[in-house]
Amino acid sequence: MNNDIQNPELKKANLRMAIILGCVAIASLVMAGLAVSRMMALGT
Amino acid sequence: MSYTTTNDTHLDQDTDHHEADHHGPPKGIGRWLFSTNHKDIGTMYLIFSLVMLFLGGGMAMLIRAELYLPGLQFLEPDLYNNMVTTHALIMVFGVVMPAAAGMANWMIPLQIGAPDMALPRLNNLSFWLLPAGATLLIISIIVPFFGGGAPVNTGWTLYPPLSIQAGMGMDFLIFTLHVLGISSILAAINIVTTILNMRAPGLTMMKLPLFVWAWLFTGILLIMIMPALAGGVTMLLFDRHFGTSFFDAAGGGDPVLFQHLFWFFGHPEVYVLLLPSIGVLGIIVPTFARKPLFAYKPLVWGMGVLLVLGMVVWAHHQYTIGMSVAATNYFMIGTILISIPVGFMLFSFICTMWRGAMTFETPMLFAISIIVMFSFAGTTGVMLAVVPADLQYHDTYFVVAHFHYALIPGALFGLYAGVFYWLPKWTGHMYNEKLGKIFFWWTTIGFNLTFFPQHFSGLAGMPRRIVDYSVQFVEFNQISSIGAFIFGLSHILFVYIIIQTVRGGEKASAMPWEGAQIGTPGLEWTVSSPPPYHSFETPPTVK
Repeated sequence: MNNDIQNPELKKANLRMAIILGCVAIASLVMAGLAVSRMMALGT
Repeated sequence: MSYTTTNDTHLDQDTDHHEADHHGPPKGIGRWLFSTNHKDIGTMYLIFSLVMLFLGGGMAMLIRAELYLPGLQFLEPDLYNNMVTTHALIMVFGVVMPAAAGMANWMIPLQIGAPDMALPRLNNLSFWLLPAGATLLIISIIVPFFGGGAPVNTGWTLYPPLSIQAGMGMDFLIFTLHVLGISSILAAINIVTTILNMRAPGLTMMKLPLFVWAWLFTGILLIMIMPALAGGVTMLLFDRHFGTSFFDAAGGGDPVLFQHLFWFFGHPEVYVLLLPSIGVLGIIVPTFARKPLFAYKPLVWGMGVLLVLGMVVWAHHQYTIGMSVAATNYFMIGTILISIPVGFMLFSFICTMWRGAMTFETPMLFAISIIVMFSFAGTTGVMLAVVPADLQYHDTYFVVAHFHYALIPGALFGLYAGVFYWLPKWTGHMYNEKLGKIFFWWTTIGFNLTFFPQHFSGLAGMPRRIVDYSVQFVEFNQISSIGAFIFGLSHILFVYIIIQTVRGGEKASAMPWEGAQIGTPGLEWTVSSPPPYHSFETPPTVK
């Protein structure tokens, strides 16, 4: 199946979900940075 | 669970599905290069991972051949360390992850009654990034032979300062991780979107097969952890070439920062490798025990707990760097807590089998062996979580034995079980059960012969990632090496069974396993074996 034949609403919903998950990926990078810097600050 | 469907291309296994399709698969190489069909892409993922299994397995056999005797046999120390590094990266990124993604591609749309993945073109891109990444990985191995400096000899953890000093191969390895990381994130986004948005009407979340749940958690984990690895290796690249000192103590940086970034990715990655196989077990055990999965909902919650705990215990890989007591205690307690959801999962599978009408086909044999052998990894895992003990075990063969017991039964055997379980669905033919059982015993005996003695050599103090060793470890290493060759060679039979099944054999019905509809089954059994090229174009309704 090609996504051209997905109904437009579903296509839009899928795109929206993909963008949200992409934002989660970026947010998790920030979270990793915060968690790791907190660990470094605790003293190693 | 019952279902209705208006798609007349399936249900009847004798239907000639090609006639009922709008069109068959495209012809020629274009079918594979430009495919947006989840079954074709799933097949490519599985073939890719099988090829990489032989590459990574070949390296493992070289390592074990070198370690058959103390002293240097035929690998220079740097090349040996390069084999160790590349073997691990290939097995993690080239074998287990693509194989699990291949199964997800094949089975998730079929199990949830979707016509395809939510983002089919992205699916194509996710796959085709893999051969590109594999090419970069192979280049990283061969550049040292063409004046590219010393081979990458850091181990898969790529710790600085060694990784900053390595030759050009390290740059190719960093790009490999970038490419494979992008592929994984895109695949994960696609799978999560498919599960959340593309389910058949009436198929609520708590009716999903455990494999789908397992992949939902795996996808979320991948999305959350891969950016940390990408960030870490990018900082490494900048330290190597652009004058930064993120990890260079001489410039005010700290190599331990990289360790934190790496293990923020690396520990949850273990669950990325394990969860799909747990999902496969959640389907196979009820089928062959002919009983619904024991405690399905708590199992789903258990996987969620595993996801959360797995994200916050990364530094138990770094006890020896000398963390504060508070941090060490936190990571120790958190790590030991993980044994609760994992133990619960294993008990749930055992309780499913309890008083079931069990039969022992190849997938079930693998499932039972996983429960037994993964328990070994769980036990040694708790030992390694305890700080004072870990300070002794750290960087010994005990750790090597532990993670191979976790990842070979926990991930690889789960995938083998899945291959045997779904091969009739994929090919339309039953595999040779006798050969399947021979493969199971051959590979299980070979595996245990290889890795069980490593517990002892590790406890006796044999360090890992070292080409030579003291003579008192000879016997353990010889048993390990013989086991490794038995284990490695068994995979020739695996390939033979697959080729034989693809080429012909007894026809498989739409539902080849008697107990497949027990519990929370997927909708894959409502389509013929093999499924039509386009399935579920009209969504079925689940009641």
